[in-house]
Amino acid sequence: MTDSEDWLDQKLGELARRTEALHVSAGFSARVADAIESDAPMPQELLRSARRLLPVALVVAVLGLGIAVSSEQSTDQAFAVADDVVEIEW
Amino acid sequence: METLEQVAQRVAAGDTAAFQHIVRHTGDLLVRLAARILGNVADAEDTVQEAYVKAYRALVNGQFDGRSSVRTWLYRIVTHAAIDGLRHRRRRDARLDSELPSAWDGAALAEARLALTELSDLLRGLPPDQRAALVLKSVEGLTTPEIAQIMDCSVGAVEQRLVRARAALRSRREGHD
Repeated sequence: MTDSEDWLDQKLGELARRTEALHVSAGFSARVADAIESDAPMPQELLRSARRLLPVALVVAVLGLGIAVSSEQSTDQAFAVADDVVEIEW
Repeated sequence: METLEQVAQRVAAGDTAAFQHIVRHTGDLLVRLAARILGNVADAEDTVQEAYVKAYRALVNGQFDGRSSVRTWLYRIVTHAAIDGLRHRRRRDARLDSELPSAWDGAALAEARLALTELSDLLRGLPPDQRAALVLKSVEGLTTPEIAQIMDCSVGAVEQRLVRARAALRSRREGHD
């Protein structure tokens, strides 16, 4: 090892010891927690609630579809009745 | 006493509050590493904060495979972020990179900040990857294979970076003599 490298290792070793006291500033953990929370695409609680509601939403959607279909059939019958009435008037 | 690996498993399993345990136990270590690479504590804290966000996201998405220790994994994220930070900072005034003692610092922290400025001056001008390799080896005291794992490169590539960094610093010193 050359004198220059020896000097470099000694210097870096000394600076390693002298920078050992560096630490995070007060409130750093809270800032990290805030950053993580604001990074989340959707709050975990909301996501869990949405997952729980998914089966209920599916049942409601199927019932809605059934009601829509039966309602359309009633409307068709009503039109048919109305057409009959119109024919009688002519 | 729970290990960082066990805490990481808890975070991955949905105990997101457990991540604060990781932050409390690795914060000083990672900010010190980033500060030694970047040359100041403020940038180091920003870098480590972003690194924690990435790490948290990776844990909850099941992207941490556990092949390395949590400490090495966090070292890797922070080192890469610090190297990116150095690359983006190159056009800035060099004096902005220095650490100035604050009136609020205690004596030990003020001395550490002065030492950080000396370290930054010593390493100034080195390419970011050489600077990071030298800090990991000669300041953090890691082995060459550990550095290779952290920097995602071969042992040979790490050795080459170290040789070049030392040659550049030696040549600069001899130029001053």
